[in-house]
Amino acid sequence: MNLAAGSNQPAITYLNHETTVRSWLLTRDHKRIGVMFLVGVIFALLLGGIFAMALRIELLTPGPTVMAPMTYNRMFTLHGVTMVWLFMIPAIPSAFGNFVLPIMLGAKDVAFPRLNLASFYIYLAGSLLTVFGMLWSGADTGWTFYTPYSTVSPTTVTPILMGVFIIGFSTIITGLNFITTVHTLRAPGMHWTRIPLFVWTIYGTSVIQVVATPVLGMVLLLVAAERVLGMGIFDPSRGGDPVLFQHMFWFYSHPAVYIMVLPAMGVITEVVCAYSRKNIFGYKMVAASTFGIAFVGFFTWGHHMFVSGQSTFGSGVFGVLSMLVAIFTAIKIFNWVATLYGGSIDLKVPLLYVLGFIFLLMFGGMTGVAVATTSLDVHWHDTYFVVAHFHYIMVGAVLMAFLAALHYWWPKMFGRLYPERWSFLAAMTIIFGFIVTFLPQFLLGNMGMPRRYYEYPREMQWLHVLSTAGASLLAFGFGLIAIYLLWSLRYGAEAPVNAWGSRGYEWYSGSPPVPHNFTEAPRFEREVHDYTVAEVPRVY
Amino acid sequence: MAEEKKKSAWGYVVVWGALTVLTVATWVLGTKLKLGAFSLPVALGLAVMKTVLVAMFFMHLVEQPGARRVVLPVSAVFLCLLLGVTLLEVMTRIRMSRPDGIEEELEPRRPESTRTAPPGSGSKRLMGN
Repeated sequence: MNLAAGSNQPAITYLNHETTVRSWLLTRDHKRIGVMFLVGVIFALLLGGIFAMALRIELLTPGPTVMAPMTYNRMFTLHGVTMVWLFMIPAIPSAFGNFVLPIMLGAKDVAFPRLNLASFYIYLAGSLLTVFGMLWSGADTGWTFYTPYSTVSPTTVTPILMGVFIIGFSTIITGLNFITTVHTLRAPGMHWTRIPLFVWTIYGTSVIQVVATPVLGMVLLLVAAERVLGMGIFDPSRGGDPVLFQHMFWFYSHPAVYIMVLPAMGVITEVVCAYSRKNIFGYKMVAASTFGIAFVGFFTWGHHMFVSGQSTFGSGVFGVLSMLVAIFTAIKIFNWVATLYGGSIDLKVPLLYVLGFIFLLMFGGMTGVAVATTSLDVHWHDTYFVVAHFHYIMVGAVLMAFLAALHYWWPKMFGRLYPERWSFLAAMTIIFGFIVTFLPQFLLGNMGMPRRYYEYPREMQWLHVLSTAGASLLAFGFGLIAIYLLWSLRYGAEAPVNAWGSRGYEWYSGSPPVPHNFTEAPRFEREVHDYTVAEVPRVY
Repeated sequence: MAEEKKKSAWGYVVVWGALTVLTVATWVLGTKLKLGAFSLPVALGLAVMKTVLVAMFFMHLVEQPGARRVVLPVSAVFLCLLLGVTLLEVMTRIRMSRPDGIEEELEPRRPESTRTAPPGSGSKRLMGN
């Protein structure tokens, strides 16, 4: 590897070998595509965060505060649509998966580089159409587009439906690309039992994406057909069945929770290993539990429908099956903790996010078992209890893992270090802010506060104020991260080639990597995260 | 240069013939013969046979090594899961009872299968409630 003068970084990297705008827009380099996805999902996070803050400000007082009821309805829809479809689903697989998966496998690129670029532009087109629908007048259906209301709502539902439909193709293409890459482009020595666990989770996620996303596309098209052509598929007054919509929607959208969470679990595994200086405890069980979650996740969609008119027999079956997910999740949590136990722990910022992740995942997971109990769910259904539950399990977990990945792989991606003190402050602010935002919502839900309501009784105000205060802390934390990361791109210290002394396979390439990842074919002669030898891995 | 085995087109012709026969069979069984309750399963069975032929031969699945051939059965399993569980749920739903005096004619536009059951009428559902 040719090093730059006075530096331990490669002289030519994927960042500087071509610098024109055209070279970025037409790139087939998985790393650049990963960076473009990263910019896209961060923009979506910003947009969704602005909508969230607007909601929380409105809920500061029991009556009208800053917006009209219809605006409020649109705002929670836009928040949900943006966060789920534009941010959480593509965040880790498309951004970080694209960047590190081929490097971890010792490949020069993904199996289909052109398709990879197409996947980004399809995501961009779908996102733009969705944003156009939001700006045109916005929808008021909630991100779930429940029928029959979504088929008759006077707001602009169809462009948003079509936007999400298009984004689905991006997801399928990315999934196919990753599956093929894992099967065909592993370097010599990369046996199935040596594949890094982050890659395993991306692989499991890709299978879900390929199998389930077409069902989402189908159901969104049916809703659009019912809106535009007046077909009687879901509308009971025309002989349709609205519960059928929920079946088809949740057949995708429940596994979609694992599309979001499984890659997050992969990030956590990498970070736990790197900062406890140990390989993962129970590699095979952690990999197997990934597929356990992916598989069982397909049998649990009906737990969203306990009060929909679904049969009690169906609810009972779905309730029991839903609880099985907790077993596989617990395997992972026990293995992470067992890995940390006795390790040489280096409490850097990514590990701090891991601790936040484990806490939030456990809290969200255990309340998940509670809401999978049909008798309890009848009380909590469509209340803030459920809102708090899924924010802990989905948003909390994904955000923590996203931020952990961002900080862990930042020196790898951009060759720069960020200021540790500021990053520590931001991490503490975000973890604390998240808990303060959503813990009161469990109490609100238990008191009977329904979700998506514009007004509420005065005795609930203090909990809403607390929640808004937490959201403000979150916003402050994200602002801080944006400032110091942007600062580090220009002024941050140059990162060593292996900033954390990690033994993860992605560190076998330079930081930032060269255009084709390696200057010579890498050989993976040691297990991933093998810390039994003192020296860091050779850079190829 | 790797030597490629030249494949005969006759295999595809045979498969095309089989697909044509199955298509004609679908049309005959659907329009000329009255199969009653068996018409739907027979039509679906023929459709599945045609799908398998297309996937195996025209999409070259039969030539693929083990791991890639798993794609078809996995897709079938997930389709069966979606349809099977959804239908099971529909079959085990509660039929809502109606207050006395409500006539069937009040719901003239709704298909019979979606109408509420009159009080005291026996449920035809498979299980429970």
